[in-house]
Amino acid sequence: MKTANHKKWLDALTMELRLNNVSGKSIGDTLAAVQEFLADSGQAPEDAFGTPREYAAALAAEGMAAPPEKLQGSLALSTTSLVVFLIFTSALTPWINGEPLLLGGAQVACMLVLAAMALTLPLYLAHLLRNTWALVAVPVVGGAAGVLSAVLAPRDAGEALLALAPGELLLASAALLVALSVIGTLFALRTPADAIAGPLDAAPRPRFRWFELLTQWLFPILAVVMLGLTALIGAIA
Amino acid sequence: MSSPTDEPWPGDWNRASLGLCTLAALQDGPTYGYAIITALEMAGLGTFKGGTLYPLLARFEAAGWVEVEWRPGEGGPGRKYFSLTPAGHAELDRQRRQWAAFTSRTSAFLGGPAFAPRQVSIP
Repeated sequence: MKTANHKKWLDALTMELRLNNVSGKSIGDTLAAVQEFLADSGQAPEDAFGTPREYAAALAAEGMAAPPEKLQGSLALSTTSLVVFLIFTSALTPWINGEPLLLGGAQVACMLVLAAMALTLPLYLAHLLRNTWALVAVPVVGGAAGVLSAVLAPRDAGEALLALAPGELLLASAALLVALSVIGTLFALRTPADAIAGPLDAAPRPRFRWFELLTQWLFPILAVVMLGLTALIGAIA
Repeated sequence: MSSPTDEPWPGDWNRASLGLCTLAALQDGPTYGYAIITALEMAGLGTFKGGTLYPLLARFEAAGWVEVEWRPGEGGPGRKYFSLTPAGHAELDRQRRQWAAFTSRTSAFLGGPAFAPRQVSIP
């Protein structure tokens, strides 16, 4: 029971330190010092250190935090890529069928809500991770906006607010996806890996981070897969 | 043990003196978090939390007054030892002199003639 409580508190502290942009090395050091103190004093983590949020904020205020570019920067890249990917997939079927991409007014409103939620995620991420209700509510609202947007798609040009040329949209979004992946790759290569390391652990050997770099190309790869699948379904039908 | 009246010291007093007392706890050589808190408690200065002490030590480390060394423990996570740097020793000396001057003036003010109402002679 005691160790389970300690572990839960330490996990929450790790998350709060990450949200405060504390480096992996400093997090490892902090966790080890907390464990040492708890073992010495026999106290519960809350009694010795307060809440994980308060303690992380106190340490970050003493100069432990790095400039806040890394977390927010890579997150903003991912959410922008997601929005561009959604534009790409919505233009795919009309392009294969040789039809314009028709968008209704309510549909555009739903898409804007979805895009705004994704693009502003770096601003409310901390709130999301700290509150279970928000962690449930945000995907529910996002999913509802996505489903509504599909349901509200106009059936013919008369109902549509906008009729866009899907070929150009496809090209522009594909180019943007590749550009965002290039930026992401450069960003990942420039920032060193920031794994949590204990103070007495041997320094990890620098390895080439294939997996981390591959994730930067997730959306272009998915876009190619979607293109292939849609073309295949079109050919069969 | 706390104050002679067995009441805890006012929190403001503890906050004001904790930094200086922590530097003093390190003057005899490297020591670790719980040992510092125990030393302060044994001296009757009050009970302090790890959550108060470690951020203070992080500030001293950033200021170059304290350096840190991890030593392996017996099966445990190891121990983080803090020690004073030459700059930390100099800071302790400076603050100790200031504290002595401050407390002697405060005591004089509390117990001396400054506390009594002045006699004002009207011609």
